[in-house]
Amino acid sequence: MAPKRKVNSKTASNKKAKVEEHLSIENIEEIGETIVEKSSYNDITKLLDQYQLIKKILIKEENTEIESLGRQLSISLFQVFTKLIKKGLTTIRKADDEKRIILVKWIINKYDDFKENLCWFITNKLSYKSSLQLDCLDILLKLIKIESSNNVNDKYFPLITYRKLVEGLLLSQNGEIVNDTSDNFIILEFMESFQKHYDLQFYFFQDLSKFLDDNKDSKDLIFSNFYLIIKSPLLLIGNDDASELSTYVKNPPSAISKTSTFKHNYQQSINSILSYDLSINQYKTILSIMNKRILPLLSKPSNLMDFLTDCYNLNSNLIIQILSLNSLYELMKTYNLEYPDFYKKLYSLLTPELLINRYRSRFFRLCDLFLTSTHLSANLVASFIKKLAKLSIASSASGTIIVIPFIYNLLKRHPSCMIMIHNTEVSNDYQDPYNDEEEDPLKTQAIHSSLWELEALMNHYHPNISTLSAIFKEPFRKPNYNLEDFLDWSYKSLLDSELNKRYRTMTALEYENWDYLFDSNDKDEQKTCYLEGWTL
Amino acid sequence: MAGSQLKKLKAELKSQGLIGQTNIKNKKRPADRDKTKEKLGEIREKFNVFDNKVNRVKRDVTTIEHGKFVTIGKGNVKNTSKTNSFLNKNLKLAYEAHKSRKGRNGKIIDKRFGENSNLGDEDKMLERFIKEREQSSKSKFSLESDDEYDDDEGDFQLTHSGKLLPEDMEEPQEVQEEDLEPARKKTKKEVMAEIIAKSKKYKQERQKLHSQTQQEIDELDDEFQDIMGEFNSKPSANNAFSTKKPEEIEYDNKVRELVYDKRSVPADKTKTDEEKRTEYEEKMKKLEQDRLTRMEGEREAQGDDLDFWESEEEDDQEENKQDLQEEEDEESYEEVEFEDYDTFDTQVSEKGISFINNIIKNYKPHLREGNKARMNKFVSNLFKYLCHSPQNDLIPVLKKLCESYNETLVQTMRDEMLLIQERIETNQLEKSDLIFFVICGFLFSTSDKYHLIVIPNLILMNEVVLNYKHDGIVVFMMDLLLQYQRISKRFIPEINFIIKDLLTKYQKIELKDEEDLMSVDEIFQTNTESKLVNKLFTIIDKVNSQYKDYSILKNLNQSILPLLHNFGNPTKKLTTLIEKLTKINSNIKLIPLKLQSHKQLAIKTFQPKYEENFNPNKVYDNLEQSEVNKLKKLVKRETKNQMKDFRKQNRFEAQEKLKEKVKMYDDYHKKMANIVNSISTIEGKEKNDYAKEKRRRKQ
Repeated sequence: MAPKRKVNSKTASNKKAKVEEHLSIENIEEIGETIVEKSSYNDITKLLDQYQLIKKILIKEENTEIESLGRQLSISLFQVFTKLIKKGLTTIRKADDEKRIILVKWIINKYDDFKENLCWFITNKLSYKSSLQLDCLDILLKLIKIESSNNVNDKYFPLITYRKLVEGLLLSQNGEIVNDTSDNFIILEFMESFQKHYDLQFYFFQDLSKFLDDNKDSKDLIFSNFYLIIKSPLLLIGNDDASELSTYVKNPPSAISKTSTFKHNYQQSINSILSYDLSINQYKTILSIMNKRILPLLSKPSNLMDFLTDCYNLNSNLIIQILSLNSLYELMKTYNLEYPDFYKKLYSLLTPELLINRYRSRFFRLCDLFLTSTHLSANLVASFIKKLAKLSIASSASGTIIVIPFIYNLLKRHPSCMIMIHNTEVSNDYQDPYNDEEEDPLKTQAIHSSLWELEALMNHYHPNISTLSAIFKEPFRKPNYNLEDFLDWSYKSLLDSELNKRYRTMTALEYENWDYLFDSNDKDEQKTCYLEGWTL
Repeated sequence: MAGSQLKKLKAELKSQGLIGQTNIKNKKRPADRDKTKEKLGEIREKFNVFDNKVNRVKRDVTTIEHGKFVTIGKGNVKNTSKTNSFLNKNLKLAYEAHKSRKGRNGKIIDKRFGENSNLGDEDKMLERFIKEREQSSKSKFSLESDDEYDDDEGDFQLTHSGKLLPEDMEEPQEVQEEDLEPARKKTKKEVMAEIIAKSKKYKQERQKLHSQTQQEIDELDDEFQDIMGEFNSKPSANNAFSTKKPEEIEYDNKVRELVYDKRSVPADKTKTDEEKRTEYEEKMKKLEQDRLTRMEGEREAQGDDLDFWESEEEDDQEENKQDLQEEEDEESYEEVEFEDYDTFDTQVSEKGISFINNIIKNYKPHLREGNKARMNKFVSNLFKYLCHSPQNDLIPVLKKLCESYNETLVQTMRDEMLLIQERIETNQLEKSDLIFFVICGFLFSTSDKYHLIVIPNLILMNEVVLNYKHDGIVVFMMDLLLQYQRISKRFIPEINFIIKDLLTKYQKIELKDEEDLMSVDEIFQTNTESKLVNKLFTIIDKVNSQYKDYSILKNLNQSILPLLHNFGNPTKKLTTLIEKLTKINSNIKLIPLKLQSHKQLAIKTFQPKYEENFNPNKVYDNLEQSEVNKLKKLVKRETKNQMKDFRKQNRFEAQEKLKEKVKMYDDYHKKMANIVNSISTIEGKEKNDYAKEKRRRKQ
């Protein structure tokens, strides 16, 4: 690299034109150190111009040299502005003369430029995941702290800088969107400080809804980033007193302890997100965290009633229904939401897809809760029992496993339904009165039907399920089954438990003998084959 | 009485006549002294109020005790000083007794051998004799262990600093030489090391000498035998071997062989064909019965379920004999790589089936060590190979091997299943995986309720049926599942679900009359929808025949029938299927369940128990427990008291010891003072004498 003098002359000659050659690390360091001491503020422009070069190169290729250059540049500028902030050169005071006002305005302008550049690194995707981007995030967060502590006001939060960072983060393209959530490493880094500090969370949602409304175009990106941030529990969940939470800046304004403001802002942001034209999967994603993460933080959760009810009534997708049911139940429980024809709707969720659905355990937990009351009519309970039994004969093994103890518990709780498995007064011309098409669980006549499905399940191919279903033959002595033990089985766990059995004696072999394994076109009539109808 | 304590005391003493006028006449002195003492004691007690401890009660409560009115706490005065002095006296007595005995009591312990053990006189003498001998034979100064001298007792020799003492003690040269050595004194360690080294050296020499003589003796003994033989042998006229002719020798050999030959047994009766058939039928019946019990799940599979293979085993044994002979003849072995599947694969494809047969013949476990392990690997490789390229003539071979190498095979299959599970999750099933399930079904008894291979297989296959995203494989699996359940006819909900699903999916398809046969390769091809639907109809048909006994079949068919009707241009097969289903449905009559017809159980009742002399204050329920509690309380109290006593005793002992010590010091100081005094007096006297003498001399 050329000596310093040469560079200086070069930059001097190209003062207005774009700087083509980048400075060396030592150069930047030197310039950075002298700016404040010599008041040679024009050098800031020189340094800021360097960013264009670095951006251009890094977006094209991976270059560690340039990366460390960028790092030094950012650090030097950070130090420069730190000193300036401490000197008070970034705030206009009333006592200032005209000259100083011009200078301060100019510096503020450059400071904004600097922040703009840092945000650029957060937002834009480079050719590789660079630690420079994380450094930029780090510097921005530090600037927030320094700005806050050096302000004229005792209690101050640099909202403008933070806003810039938040917007940069939400628009950050540094992650791949998989299943509507992102793996953005900058956001994950940001979450480290975000999760711990209440003031960051508070100002995150301030005025956020406007930004969200303005950026509907890049909805997938914003949704995934936003989801990544709100997915983890915020500090206010289960903690109503905001004054004791730790804050990032030393003396934040006292306004942040108003949880109602926070909740209001939060709700507005959520409303803005939900007003996006979301895909089904995105709805699923946000509904899956609705009841635990979102609802407790809303100022008026009942405002989401319509949204959730609509989701629940959306007949096309079972998962969305189950997920919204979960949140709806939360609303009903805590906010007295009245839902007409609740059981009818619940009954309509019992579709063949239910038992092979990923969220079936969620549904059954809730359903168990809804059917706990012993004051429900026998007709209603019988309909649920019959429908579930019907589903269980065409479902996955794991679904069947849930249904059996579920029905047992229902029968135990509503002994009047026992007639469905034990009916002695039958006329000769008995016809199954159950109406499968009927939507109202009170009118299905299920109570007069019988659970032949359970009889079939007693001969289920899986020995444990068949023995489990045999409980309906036995006297009902057990008070009830703990549903949790049966909810989370899968083919894999069934297989694992089966494969872990110890080898004791020789496994039984087939004594029947076939001549061939597979069928064939030119098979001898005398010969037998194991698998008829299939050739190799 | 008013006044100070002193005045009171004086008044009291006076009233007792202890002070004041003493010259009163007619007073017997000796009696008087005793009385005075007594009186004084009384007065002392009366005036020392602090000696007594009174337990006061706040209010007077009067109760009746032994028929008398008693105020509680009235006489509750503890004369502590009295009790204390009594106690202390006792303690002092005990302490002194103990002290006087300390270090003084003992007894004579007879340490002579046999005195303290209960041996008989005879035995005692014998033991003593042995001990004595042992002791005398052992030298206290010997460095060698005692057993080295066992063989030659005469070797005991005296040594000096590790050297043998000369026999005649008249060789002073060595000693002189040593004396000539520089005067440096050797350290003890060096001396000891020298001694040990020397002793070892001598020991070795002695042993060598000993073994030499021993050898010589042995040789002499041997020669002595020869010499004696020479002496004793008479020239014999005829040789023992020459008496027999070659024929006779041969005869003898034959006889000897016959001795070891197997005794002939009556041969089994040659069976007629009919007998054979009935036997076979019976065997089959037994196997079927076993299968049924397994199907019911009454017991797990057992080894004896495989009697079926017995007849073939007999053949095997014969073959074994031949093998053995061959082995002896050739001793040639085909070198086979057992470890690796890939090399196995190439070897089989190169050399064909004869290669496998050869291995099975040559590597029988009883032929050579390590063959069992080799065969285990071979069998699992063979199984993997067959999954990739199933050959009809090799499958029975595998089935036969499956019996003897069952555990290995089971393990191989289990490992394979885990891999298949992963492939199912990633939707990457291969043709070999499908064949895996077919071979398993072929080998094992798939009707069992519990089975190490079949059950996990069923789970896997059902996972494929329900979750796998390739309709061809799903249809194949359904068919195979039904084949698995052809006897046990167990219920498979997954099939019911997927049939409906597939029928709905293929509603719009053009139906064609297709042949029933479909190849496994076709599954992986595209454009086979029509064939698949055709297969699906076959499967529905099979389901109907398998689920005949389930009344729920009616509901299943009811849900399928509309879908079947919906197909655009019904083929012949479809129409017959629809007819069949409708007919079956009309035949099924749904009768409500009666699952809970259990024997009614009576509620347990107990006859009431009456207690005579019932006392409402007594606890009847738990007499034992109350007894235990009582005892516990007692033990607690006793321990507490005992601890108190111990502490008191210890305190007392410590005090006594302290007193003794103080006394000892006092005595000592007194004694010393006396001595010093006496010395100073003597010295003083001497000094005076000296001075006197001096003075005298001066004069």
